[in-house]
Amino acid sequence: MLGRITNIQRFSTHDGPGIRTTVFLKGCPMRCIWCHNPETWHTAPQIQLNATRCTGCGGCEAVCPAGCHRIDVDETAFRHLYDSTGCVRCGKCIAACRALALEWCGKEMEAEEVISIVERDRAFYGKTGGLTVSGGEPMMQPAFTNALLGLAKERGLSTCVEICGVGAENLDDGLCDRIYFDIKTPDPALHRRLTGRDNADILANLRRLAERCSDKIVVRMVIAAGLNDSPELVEQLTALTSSLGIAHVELNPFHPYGSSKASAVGMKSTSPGKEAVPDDRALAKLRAHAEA
Amino acid sequence: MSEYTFYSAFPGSRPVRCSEKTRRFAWDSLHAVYGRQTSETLALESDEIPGFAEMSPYARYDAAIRLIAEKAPLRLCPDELVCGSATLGKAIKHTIPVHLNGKCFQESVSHLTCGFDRVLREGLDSYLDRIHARQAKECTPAQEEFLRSLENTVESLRIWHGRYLNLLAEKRASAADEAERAYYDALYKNLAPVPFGVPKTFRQGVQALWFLFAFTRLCGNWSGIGRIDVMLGDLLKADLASGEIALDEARELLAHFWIKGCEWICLDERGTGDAQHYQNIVLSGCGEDGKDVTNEVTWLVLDIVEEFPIPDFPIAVRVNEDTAPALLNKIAAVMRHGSGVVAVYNERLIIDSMVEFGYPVEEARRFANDGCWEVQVPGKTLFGYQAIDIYGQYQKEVLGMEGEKKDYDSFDALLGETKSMIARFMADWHDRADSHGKGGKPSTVVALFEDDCIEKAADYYCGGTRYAALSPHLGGVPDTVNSLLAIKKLVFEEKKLTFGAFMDILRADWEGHEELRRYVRDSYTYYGNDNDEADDLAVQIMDTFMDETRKIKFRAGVLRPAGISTFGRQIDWKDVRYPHAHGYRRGEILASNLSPTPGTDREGATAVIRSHCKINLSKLTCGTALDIKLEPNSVKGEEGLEAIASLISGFVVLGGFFMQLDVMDNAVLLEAQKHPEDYQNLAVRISGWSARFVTLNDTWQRMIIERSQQAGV
Ligand code: SF4
Ligand code: SF4
Ligand code: SF4
Repeated sequence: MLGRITNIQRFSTHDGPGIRTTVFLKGCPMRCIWCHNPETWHTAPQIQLNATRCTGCGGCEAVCPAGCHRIDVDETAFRHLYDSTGCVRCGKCIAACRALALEWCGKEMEAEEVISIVERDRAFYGKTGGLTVSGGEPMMQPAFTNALLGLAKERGLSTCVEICGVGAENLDDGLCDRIYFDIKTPDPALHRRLTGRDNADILANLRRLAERCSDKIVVRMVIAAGLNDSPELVEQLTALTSSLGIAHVELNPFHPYGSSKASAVGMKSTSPGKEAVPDDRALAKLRAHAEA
Repeated sequence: MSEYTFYSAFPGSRPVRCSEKTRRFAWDSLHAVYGRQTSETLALESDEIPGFAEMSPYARYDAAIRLIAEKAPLRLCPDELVCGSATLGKAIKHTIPVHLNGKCFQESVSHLTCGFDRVLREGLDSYLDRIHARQAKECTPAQEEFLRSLENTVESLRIWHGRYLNLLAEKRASAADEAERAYYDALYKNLAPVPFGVPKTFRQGVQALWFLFAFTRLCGNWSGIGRIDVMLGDLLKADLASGEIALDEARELLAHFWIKGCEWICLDERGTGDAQHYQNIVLSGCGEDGKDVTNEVTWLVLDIVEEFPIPDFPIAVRVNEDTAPALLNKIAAVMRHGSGVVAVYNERLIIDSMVEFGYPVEEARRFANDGCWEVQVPGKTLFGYQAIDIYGQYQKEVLGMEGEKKDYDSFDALLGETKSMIARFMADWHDRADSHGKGGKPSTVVALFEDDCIEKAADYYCGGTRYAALSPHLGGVPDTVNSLLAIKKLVFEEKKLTFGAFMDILRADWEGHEELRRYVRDSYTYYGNDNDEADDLAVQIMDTFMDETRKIKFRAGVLRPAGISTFGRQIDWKDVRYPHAHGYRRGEILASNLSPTPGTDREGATAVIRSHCKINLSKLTCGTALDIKLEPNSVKGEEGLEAIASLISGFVVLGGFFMQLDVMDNAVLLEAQKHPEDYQNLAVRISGWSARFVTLNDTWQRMIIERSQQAGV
C-alpha cells in the first residue's frame, strides 16, 4: 500500500518512549497558527529550498513557469525569495538547480518499504522503542497508517501515533501501544481562531477512544504564551481528561521552529515569534495546576 | 544546597551527595590550585648526587628515584582523606623529574596499567621476598643490576612512605584540638600498614591504591588504574557488613581519590588539552570466573562522576547483553551531563576476540587498557602502538597525488590497488615490529608492578613482562572510504569525467569546479549513514587491514593485535592532506578514529552506530573508538535518558567495540571560547580522554566544535 511521506526520522527521542523512528506523513486538515511542521500541511509534494546550499545562480528563476523563485541581488549579497503559490509541480527548478538546493518534500512510499527502514534500528529499540507515526495528520491516510502499525506489530515493534483527533474514528487503536492525542484547546471558539476549524468532532473522537483504551492515551497540549496559556483552559482540559479516565496529560511549550520550515516550502508563516514561547516558570505553574 | 556548582550540559542538574568540604576540595582541584602548586617545583637537581652524569643507566635511574623519594615536596591538602601527592611538575610532562644540566635526564613510561591489584592482594613486602628469591638464583651481571634496581624501588617507596608518616605524626602532635588530632591520627593509621602490608579495610585499600599510583606518577610514569571495583569491592563489602564504614563515608573517601586524580590540572597552558595522562579506570564486567563483578564500588564511582565533572580518570564501563538496566541508566545519567567522562566497552566481543587471538580465557576476562582505550591484560603487558596514516598513503600512492600520475580503468582496479597498498604496508610493518621490547631505558618503577619482570629478572622494555604487544593503529579509514566512494560514483558509474581529469581537479583544490564539488559532497551518501554501498567499502578496507595484520599474530616475542586510532593526529594530518575526492577542500576536517568524516553523517546516531558495526570489530583485538556527540535537546527528560541507554544496548547488540558518547551544546562551546574564565571546569571528550575545553588551543577547539553532532531534532 502506498502512503505519502514527508520524512522519516531515525533516532527520534521525543516521540514516545526509548529510541524511535518517526514517520511523518503528509497532509493535515488543521491549520494551527503555531504549527511546527507546516511542510506537512499539503498532501501533494512540494518543492523545498535548502537555503544554505543555494548559490543564487538564478537557474530556478529562469525555468519556473509560475514565477515562484526570485533572486534578489545587490552588491554584497543575494536573497532567494521563494513563494510556492501557483507552483504547478513541474519539477523544472529542481532539475535546473546544480547546487542541489532544491528537492521534493514528500514522496509516495510502500508501507513495506517504510517498515524496512523502521526495522533498521531494531537493535536500539529494546523493550520500549519502535515506530511512531506522526504528521501532518496520520488519519488523513487511515488505511496506510493502520497498515503501517499492523506491519510494526507483526514485527514485534512498539507503536505510537501522534494525532490531532480529526478522523480518529478510523484509527485501529488495537494496533497502538500509545496514542498521543493533541488538544489545541478545549474551547470551541478559541479552537476556531487558532486552527481554522471547529473541535466538536475532535472531542467526540477523544471520548470514543477513551472509552475503548483510556490507558493508552496521552493528551498533549501545546502552550503558547498569550494564546492559550490561561489556567482556566488548562482546568477545562484536565476536567475533560479526568472525566474520561485519561491519566496522562502533557503540556508542552510552543517553539517558533515552524516559521523557517514554512519558508523552506515557500509558504508564509503564520507562526507567532519568540514572544509566544512560555517562560519556564509559567509553564511549571500550569503543569502544577494540571496535576492538581 | 552547595556553594559550588559544576558544569553540566543540563545546568544545575548534578546531584549533591558529598559534603561541602569535599565539594570545595573538588572545586579547588578542578581550578588548578594543586596543579599550580605542583608546577612550582618542576624537578629535583641531580647536582646533589656525586657522579650522576657518569653513572651507568641503572645506577643513575636508581639514584634519581631515591632522590625523588627523599626530596620531593610533600603535600597534605586541607581536609583530604587520602595521602600522597605527585608534586613534581616535570612528571606532568612525561619525564622523570630529575634534572641533569637543566633537563630531565630520561623520559618515563605510559600506555600501561600497572598490576596494583596484585600489591593489594599480596602486600609490597612480599615483593621484596620475590626479589630476594630471584637473587638467590643464577643471574647475569645485568640481571643482578636490575634486581638491585627493583630493591631500590621498593626501598625508595618506603622512604617516601616514611616521610609522609612522619609528617602526619608531627601534625598529630601539634594539632590544635581533639578533632584535628583525630583527623591526623586516622590518616596515619590508614597509611601506616599499606602498601607494604595487605590492606585490611576499605580505607586502607583506597589509601594503598592511591599511594602506589601517586608514587609511580611522582616518578613521571603515567599508569592506568585498572579495575577498581574488582580491587576494592570485597573490602567495602566486608566493611559495610561489619559497620566499619557507612556507604556515604565510603563515597566521600573515594571521591577524594578522584579529586586527587586531578592534582595535575594546569589551566594556564593551551595546547592539545590537559588531563591526558592515560589513567583510565575500568568498571564492571565479568571476573576471571566469568561472573559479574559489579559491586558497591562500581556504583560509588559512578555517583562521584555524576556529581563532579572530573575527567582525569576516564572511565570505561564493561557492558554486555546482560548488564542490568539500572546500571545502563546510571551510565546514561553520567554521560548526559557531558564532559565525556564515561565510555563503554562491549566486553563479550572483546573477550572473544582476545581468546581467538590466543590469550587464555581467564586472562582475557581480566582485560583493562593502556590507560586510554587500547585493550591489554593489566599488570602483565608491555604495550606500544604505531600510528599508520593510511589515508595519506592512499592519496599519495594509490591516487598518485605525488610522483607519477595513476590511472585505473575500473573501480575494481582502484579498490584492488588500495588493498594491495595496505597489504604491502602491513608486510613491512611486521618486519619492523620484530624489534619491539628488545631493550630500552631503565623503567624499574613500572617493572616492579608487572608480572614476570621479577622472576625473569628482566626490565619492562627488555622482555620482562608476560606479554609484549605492539599494535598497528590505522588512521584515516573513513576518509579513504569516502574518497573511494566518490570516485566510484562520479568516475566509474556516472562517468561524468575520467579518473585523470578528476585527480587534476583535486590537485587544483577544486578551483573552478565549485558546482561539482558541492554535487559530490551533497548528493552521495557516505560512511556513517547506514548505507550499505558506502559501509561495504569500509568493511572491505578494514577486512584487508585486519586480515593482513592477523597473518602474523605473534612473532619474535611480539603480539600484534590490530587497532584503529587517530586520537588527535587528524588535526596535524589535515594540513598535509591533498584535497578530498568526497568534496572537501584542502585542509578540511578529517575523521577521528573509526567515526564518520565530520559533516558526512546525516542520519543520526543510530545510523552512525550501524555503519560502524558492520565492520567485523572482533578482528580488531586492540580496539577502536566510535565517537558520538549528542546535542542536549535530543536527550532531555526521562526519554532522553532511556535513549542513551538504548544507544549503548544497541551498540552492544550490533557488535561495537568501544563507544565514547558526549553531550554538548555548540552554543555553549562558542560561549566558552569567548569567556574561558566562566567555563573552567567544562570538559569535553577528545578521544580516549577528556580535557578541559579552555586548555585546548584554537585548532583543537575548532575540531571539537566541528566534529559531527549526531543529534535528533
Ligand atoms: S516545480 Fe513549482 S516552483 Fe519549481 S519550476 Fe515548477 S512551478 Fe516553479
Ligand atoms: S538554481 Fe539552485 S542555486 Fe541557483 S538560485 Fe535556484 S536554488 Fe539557488
Ligand atoms: S495538527 Fe499538527 S501538523 Fe496539523 S496544523 Fe496543527 S500542529 Fe500542524
